[in-house]
Amino acid sequence: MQTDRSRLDGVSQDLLLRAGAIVVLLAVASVGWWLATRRRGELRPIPAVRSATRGSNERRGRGTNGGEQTLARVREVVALPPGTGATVVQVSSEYCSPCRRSAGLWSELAASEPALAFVEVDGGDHIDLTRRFAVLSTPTSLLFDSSGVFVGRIGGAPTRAQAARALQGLLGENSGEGASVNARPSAGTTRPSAGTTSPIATDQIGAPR
Amino acid sequence: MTTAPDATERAAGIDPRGPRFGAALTAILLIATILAGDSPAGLILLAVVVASFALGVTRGVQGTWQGLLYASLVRPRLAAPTEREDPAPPRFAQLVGLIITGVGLVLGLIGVGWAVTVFAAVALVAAFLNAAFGLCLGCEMYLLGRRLRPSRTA
Repeated sequence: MQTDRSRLDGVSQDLLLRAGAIVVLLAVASVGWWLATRRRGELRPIPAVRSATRGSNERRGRGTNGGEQTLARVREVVALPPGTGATVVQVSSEYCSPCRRSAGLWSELAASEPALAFVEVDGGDHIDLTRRFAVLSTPTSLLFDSSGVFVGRIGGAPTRAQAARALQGLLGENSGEGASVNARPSAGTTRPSAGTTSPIATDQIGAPR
Repeated sequence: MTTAPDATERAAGIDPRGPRFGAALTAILLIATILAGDSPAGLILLAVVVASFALGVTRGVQGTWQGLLYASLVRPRLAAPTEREDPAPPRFAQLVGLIITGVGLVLGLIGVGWAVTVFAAVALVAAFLNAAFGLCLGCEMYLLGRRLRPSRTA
């Protein structure tokens, strides 16, 4: 009958429409995911104000709060190891598997590199900190140089290579500050700095324990 | 030179591929739900999803039927996992799924026509991203949830 047939067409049309909508939905979700996670694990530097003289202790960045994103602010609410070279502050949360992985990696790197300090902070316990640094997801690792200036963040759990790259820039450029530069002879620096030796060679970081 | 905020370490971990396999099965169910839409079939399918999430919340992902399927059919065919995962984050994701699909089911039962489709679609995106890309819901949501609450001085 005509009515049965048109009803069947209506049903299959509706099904087709739904199936199409699902495909579009998942495609959009995939693109959105790709956009959001494209730079995961990579150091996203704070826009830097570069100084003309290399090696000078010029303030590097300005946070969204107009310069209040400093290690000193973190120190107000979190017990930090005494400042040496660079500091990595990882903001974690309770239900977060990548946080464990990332913290394990940073701990390992900090253990083998005296100029690097690492501390893990529960974002839920320090909401004000997450607000100050605009931390939305976990893990987010905040990187500070030896002067306590906020130089960049890493979203997600970095790979060993990504972490090494981030630290290379951090410790390499600023290793002229302070007295705690790693004294061991660097086996082949990959990054020349003005008058300083880079304490970390990439191959040392990458070597499995 | 590290400070951990809380020292509880889970002794045993779960295979991290298990929850993702489970999410894939859930996604298939949710696709079927959306195709069925506002119909008895759609409501039944959504109810099955809700029940699965409820199992996951109470027993952990290992205790769901998806988890049992993974353990018996898939895992024996795979190499041992390179790392293990704390079961708490996947369990949290099950709770989120339960809430989303639960609301959809209740609204659908009281007659809100589009509820089944819309809420199943939301849950589908989460399940799909978890299965395909390893999305960690707890990672994204936890801080947002805490921020909505009045802050307490640390």
